[in-house]
Amino acid sequence: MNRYIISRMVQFLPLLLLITIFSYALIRLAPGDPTTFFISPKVRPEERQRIRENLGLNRPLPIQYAIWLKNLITRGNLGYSMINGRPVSETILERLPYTVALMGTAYLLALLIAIPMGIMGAVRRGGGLDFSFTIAAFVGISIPSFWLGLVAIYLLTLKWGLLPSVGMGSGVSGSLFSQIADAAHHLIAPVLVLVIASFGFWSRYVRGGLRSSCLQKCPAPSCEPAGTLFA
Amino acid sequence: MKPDFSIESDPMRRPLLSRVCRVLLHLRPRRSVALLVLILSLAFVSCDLRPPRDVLALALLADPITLNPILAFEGPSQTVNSFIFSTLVRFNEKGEIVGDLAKSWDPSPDGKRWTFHLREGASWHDGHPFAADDVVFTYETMLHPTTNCYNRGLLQVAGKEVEFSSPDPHTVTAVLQAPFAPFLANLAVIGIVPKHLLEGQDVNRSSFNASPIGTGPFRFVRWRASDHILLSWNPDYYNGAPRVKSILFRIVPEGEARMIALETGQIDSGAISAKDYPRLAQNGRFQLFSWFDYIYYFMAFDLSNPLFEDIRVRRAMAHAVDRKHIVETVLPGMGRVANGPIPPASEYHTEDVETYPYDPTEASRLLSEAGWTRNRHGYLERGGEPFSFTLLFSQSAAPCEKAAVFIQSYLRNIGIRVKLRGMDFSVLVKTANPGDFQALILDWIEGPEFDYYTEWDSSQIGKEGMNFMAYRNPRTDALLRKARTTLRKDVRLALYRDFQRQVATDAPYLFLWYQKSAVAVSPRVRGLAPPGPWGLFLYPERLELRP
Repeated sequence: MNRYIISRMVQFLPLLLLITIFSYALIRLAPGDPTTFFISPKVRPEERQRIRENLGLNRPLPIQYAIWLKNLITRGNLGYSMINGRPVSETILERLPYTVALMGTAYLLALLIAIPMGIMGAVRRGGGLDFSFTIAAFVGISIPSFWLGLVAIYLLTLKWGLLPSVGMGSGVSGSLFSQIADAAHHLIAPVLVLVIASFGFWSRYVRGGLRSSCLQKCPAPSCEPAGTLFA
Repeated sequence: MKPDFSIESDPMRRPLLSRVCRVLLHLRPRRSVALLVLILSLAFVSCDLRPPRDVLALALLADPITLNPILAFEGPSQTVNSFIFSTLVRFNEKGEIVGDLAKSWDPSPDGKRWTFHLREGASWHDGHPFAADDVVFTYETMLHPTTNCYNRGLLQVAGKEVEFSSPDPHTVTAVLQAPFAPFLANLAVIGIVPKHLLEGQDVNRSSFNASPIGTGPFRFVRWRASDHILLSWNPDYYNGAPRVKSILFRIVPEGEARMIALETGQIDSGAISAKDYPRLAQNGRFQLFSWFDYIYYFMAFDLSNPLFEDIRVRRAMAHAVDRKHIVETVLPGMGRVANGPIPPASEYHTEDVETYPYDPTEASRLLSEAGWTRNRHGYLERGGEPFSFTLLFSQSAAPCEKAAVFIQSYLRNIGIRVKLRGMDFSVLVKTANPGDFQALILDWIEGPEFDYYTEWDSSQIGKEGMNFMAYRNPRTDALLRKARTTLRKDVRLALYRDFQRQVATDAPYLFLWYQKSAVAVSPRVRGLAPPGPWGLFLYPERLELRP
């Protein structure tokens, strides 16, 4: 097992390298560069040229990539943003907690709903419960999340004034308890939207998976499906 | 004095999620479920969406790029910086220049040497005293070739850098190559940064840029990327302690989301579009303000193109387009027809110019005088050549797109064929060079002491300059060159009046409209500056929140 993991890791390295080359090339082959990001008729061309040189954008693309790779390997430095000069790793890290809080909660809840739904659907396949779960799952899969987001903002914020529509928190300090309530208050609506948009897929996934494993283990028609499922 | 960072040291500093998990893990399962339910119900109970009583919540259109005023060149950065940093001189609500970190200043008789006398007793948010060295450091860093500053031109006069020095801790002198009237106005937009925190650092990558220290009315507390920026009052501010304790900038890029946040009280103020103005005016829950900005929209012609050489042709097009109708349709209540190159917000603006009212008959007469005749399809021709050109506009600006369609149909009525091409704004700007385009719609954003030379002087024609339509008139050249080197305001007023008259007569642009800005503010906010291009939050320290 350890050997397998190590060999996978070794195989992963060239792939990672290829991905970095590919993404680097893809972004830089697009027209324009970071100095044209905020183009305005009032920025003089010679100023833009000077900043291009400061950022090293006037050098050939492979050399730019080589410098980036050297810094990454020797110093673990992902580089600095061309736009605001901040370290890229810092920029990623400061956004990570939000992603974990929102996506983690949403995934957890979606799975908490989807797994029992999938199992029950698989056990009582073709029954009334399975039928209604299937409908619910397809409704969830079919609703575009951006549209659901707009509906949630319209109803929960604008019409009923229950939940905020902007921010990850009210931004001001209070006791630990009020902080938690505040964060939860801001999380409910986006989590709700993400759960509705993803539980359907997961429940179908669980239901399908259980069905095929059940068929493999249970060739005889008289076999108790529930017994095989939870064996 | 020890700075008060009470909000800085709050328990929020530790990631919230880890604290929640720790609490839940220490409880028995049943209790932790109960606690979760309690939290969720509390979350619904605390459904007051408004910010706390002593927090003013404002919206930003995007995450700022940097909070270092030397590098900041876009709106959100400049907005936040104006609360944190002070400038040497500043504009008041009338667009006049008054002192900020400088108490007073005097130019030498030849206008090349300026001496600034600094305010005493101002200090940085970390308690360090402010001194003349900070001012010199700021300007020199900005001018340094390795600084990635796009606005370096603000401190260059006649192609040379302005030289700054500090003979004593309360005096700064500036030596210019030539007298330059907009010099003070340029200084008014550069926030002063602390030398003691930035000296010896790579200013492009300094951590200061994301946790700034200034001398302004509010101190930086924290910046949660793409979510919010929190500022807290500076009790030691030299113009008096602010009355609002905290300012919370919410980053809400989406226009509709901003409107909803405004209407549900999650933010206290927001810019509103022409489309929302009537509805908000009717519901009466907001203080509504609107004013003309230093901005105007125009259709420019490439004057180096033989098609547009004849002044009669340009005047004919101005007569052929009913601009009043366009403005009333595209920007109801938010704009008016422009007739000249200086917008009404500026005190240099004059109405006394040639106006070209809508008159298709006059337009046709001028065109036939210029040798254009209608062919059997109804289109204009001269020597077998049809009158046809391509009009470029930015796709991201809805009013421009609509105006372009109107212009196309008005010009078709007098026999001119116009092809429309919408493009990305950055591509449009790059295309704006003599010979690269025929006609385009664009806007200029100017200021109270603006150097119109950069847009209109014949020396600015070409790839390096902003006179991309190749306008050339020795008379306006002379007027502009005199105006930018004359420090006497009354003389400048007269010179710019003549300049506007001359430009309107030459019709190098088809001037479209002057535009208004509109802002809605929650009724609980008091102490706003009089409405004007400098914004309602011009004096952040005077703002108040009523309970």
